[in-house]
Amino acid sequence: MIFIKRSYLRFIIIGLVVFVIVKAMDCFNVDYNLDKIFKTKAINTLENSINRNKMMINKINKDIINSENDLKQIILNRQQILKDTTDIVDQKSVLRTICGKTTVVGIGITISLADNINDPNMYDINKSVVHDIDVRMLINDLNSYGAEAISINGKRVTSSTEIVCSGPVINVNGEIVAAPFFIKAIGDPNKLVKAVTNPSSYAYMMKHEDGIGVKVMKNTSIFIAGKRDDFECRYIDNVEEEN
Amino acid sequence: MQYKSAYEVLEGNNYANKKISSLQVELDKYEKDKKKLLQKLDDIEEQIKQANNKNESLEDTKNKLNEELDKLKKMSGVYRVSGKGITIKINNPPEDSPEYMMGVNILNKYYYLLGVISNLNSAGAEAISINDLRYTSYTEIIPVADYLNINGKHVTAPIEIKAIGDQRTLKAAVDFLQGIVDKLKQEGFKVEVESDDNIVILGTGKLKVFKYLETYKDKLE
Repeated sequence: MIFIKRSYLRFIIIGLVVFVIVKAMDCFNVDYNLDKIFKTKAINTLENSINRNKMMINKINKDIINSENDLKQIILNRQQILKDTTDIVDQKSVLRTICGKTTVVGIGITISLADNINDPNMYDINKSVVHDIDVRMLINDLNSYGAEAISINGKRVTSSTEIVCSGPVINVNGEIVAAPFFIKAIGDPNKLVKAVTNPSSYAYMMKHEDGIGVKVMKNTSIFIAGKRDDFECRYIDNVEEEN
Repeated sequence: MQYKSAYEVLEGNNYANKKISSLQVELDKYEKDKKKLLQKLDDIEEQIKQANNKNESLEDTKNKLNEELDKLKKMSGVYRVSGKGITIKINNPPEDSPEYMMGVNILNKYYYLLGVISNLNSAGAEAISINDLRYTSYTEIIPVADYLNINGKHVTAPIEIKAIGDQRTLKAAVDFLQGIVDKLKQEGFKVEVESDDNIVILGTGKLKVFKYLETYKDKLE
């Protein structure tokens, strides 16, 4: 009986040990499987994140290339704008001179026109006085002899200048100008002088027939200021190149 | 058997851990790269924004200068212009009139044309032409033989003066009692003054070339 009991006991003990080992291995397997699942999931998640980041980096790189191209185009556009602006400024400069808006200097003549106070015409006193028409005719003659710029008592004469009597004075560019009149003209002095000294000229007739005081002098350096006005073109509604 | 399966488990575990670590490092690197690139993209977009603003400002300046240029073109006499204004037609006295017999004609009374132009200018005329020849700062009106020399061209009667400006003011400046039109009529000329909503005044077509003058700024330079 005791011998049998020991056998049973050994059997039971071995059985218990095996049971414990098997049970432990089972638990281990469960933990291992869970661990494996979680780690697999982690690996997948990381790999997905990496792939997403790779795609985003690709897209960002493309966006960078596009933006760099856009920036290059904007800079090219700026160069064109600057070139156009320079052209406009150059054209403006030329036209300002043509319109008489700039101060200019050059060789030419100066003329003085004064009433005939020494020997006035008693029958027709008007003939002894310088009128607006006299100044207009002299300016016209100066133009026919190639004047490039003209002023009357410092007022620049342009295509829009009026020279009209206003009682005892003359209006030039909206300003009052009184006798004696000092007219400056830039151009070939030898030609311009003929506007006054040529017997067919109006100034010659004024001087020799009416005794108007006409004096002329050649000058190597004549300054003529530009016309200062706010001339607005409100009625011209279209301007185009002449073909 | 237990040792073997434990070994296999442990080895597998090591591999997984190493894999996870390396993936983590790789992901970190990609995220850093992405961050840098995003910053670079932001910088370029900021540059684009500033460049666009600058271009807009330059374009505004260019447009303003263009407006000023446009105004100068209208004033210069070089370009064709159009607008509302008036026409003044002047005919010599009829051949059967005493004035004609006395030799009254626009050739020997050309000073009236200068008077008309001056009066139109006093009324704010923006552009004037005589028989389609633009009146400029350099225009001469000179009688030569049997014609008038205007801008180097031959001109004879009838004379048509066109002016762009305020129609009422232009008309009033020339056509009033004892005004220039009245005086022309008294001399025997036939004169008609009419408003016209579509005046076209030609330009000279070429820029004036100066031989004797220079702008004062050029001289200083």
